[in-house]
Amino acid sequence: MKRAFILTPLIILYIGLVFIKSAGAGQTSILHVNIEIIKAHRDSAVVDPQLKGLIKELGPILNFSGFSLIKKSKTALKVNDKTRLILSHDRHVELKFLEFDDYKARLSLRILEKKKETFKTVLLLIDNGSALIGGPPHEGGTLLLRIKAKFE
Amino acid sequence: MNKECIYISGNLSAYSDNELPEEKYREIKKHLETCTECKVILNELEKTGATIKTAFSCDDADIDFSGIWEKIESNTDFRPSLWQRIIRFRCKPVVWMPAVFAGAAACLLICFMPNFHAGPDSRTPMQASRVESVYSSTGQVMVMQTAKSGNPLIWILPGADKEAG
Repeated sequence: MKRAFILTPLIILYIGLVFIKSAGAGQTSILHVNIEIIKAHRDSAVVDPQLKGLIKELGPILNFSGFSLIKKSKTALKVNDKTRLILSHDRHVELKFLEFDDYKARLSLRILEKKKETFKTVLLLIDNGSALIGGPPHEGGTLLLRIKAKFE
Repeated sequence: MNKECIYISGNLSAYSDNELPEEKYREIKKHLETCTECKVILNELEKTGATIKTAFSCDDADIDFSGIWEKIESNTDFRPSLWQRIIRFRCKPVVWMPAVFAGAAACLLICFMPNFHAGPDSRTPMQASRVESVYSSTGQVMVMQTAKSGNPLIWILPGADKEAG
């Protein structure tokens, strides 16, 4: 009887904390997206100071030695918000924050060329997570797109 | 007061009430003839006895004892007070042991509760970002992971020799 008297408030406290935490987990509504357009090359060892980490990330896989930042853009998206970023005169990237679920943001990314969709992906991004998209040749190098996500 | 006086004084009450065997009674009587101290004690005992007898000299038939205990119980609260109960509760170590264990268990549960002391990034069951789906008009796409952090890397292989930008 006495044990129950002591344990009951503790159990209620624990359940309450679990509920508070789980309620707080679903509160992320704004996704901060950082988009970087990068040129990667093999004929130079020049690395932009902001991109030093990429040598370790991509060097062993794709044998790139130099990275230069072409463009950088920051945006904050709510669910179902869209944003566009111009890559070149006839090419742009479109991002759409689809939903936030189970501690990850679902982000749709499309590359449109002359209003025609040439590439599309859906990324599941964790908080402070990132994804890289690359491949198209660009001015003697290779074009890379780095998407970084931060939850609010 | 010598040893004999101590022994005699212990039996004076019985002597006064004539409850002693004759031999002992005579022995005490003989002592009292010579010992003034014991005589004084005897006198005091007799006086006290007489006072009590006077006080209770009323007729027993006049007193009604029926239901007297119930009346006493109804007028008296024999339960311990709140303060006495608190003191008793505090003084029982056996009660505190389960409380200590329960508290420790609760602390452990709270500390090791999933995602209690970290931000939303560490709460995720997913350790890194992922690619859910991918499409390219060239039809040639590779999905890899970066070497250090394991972040997704989508590599579009151009279908034709076409320069971007």
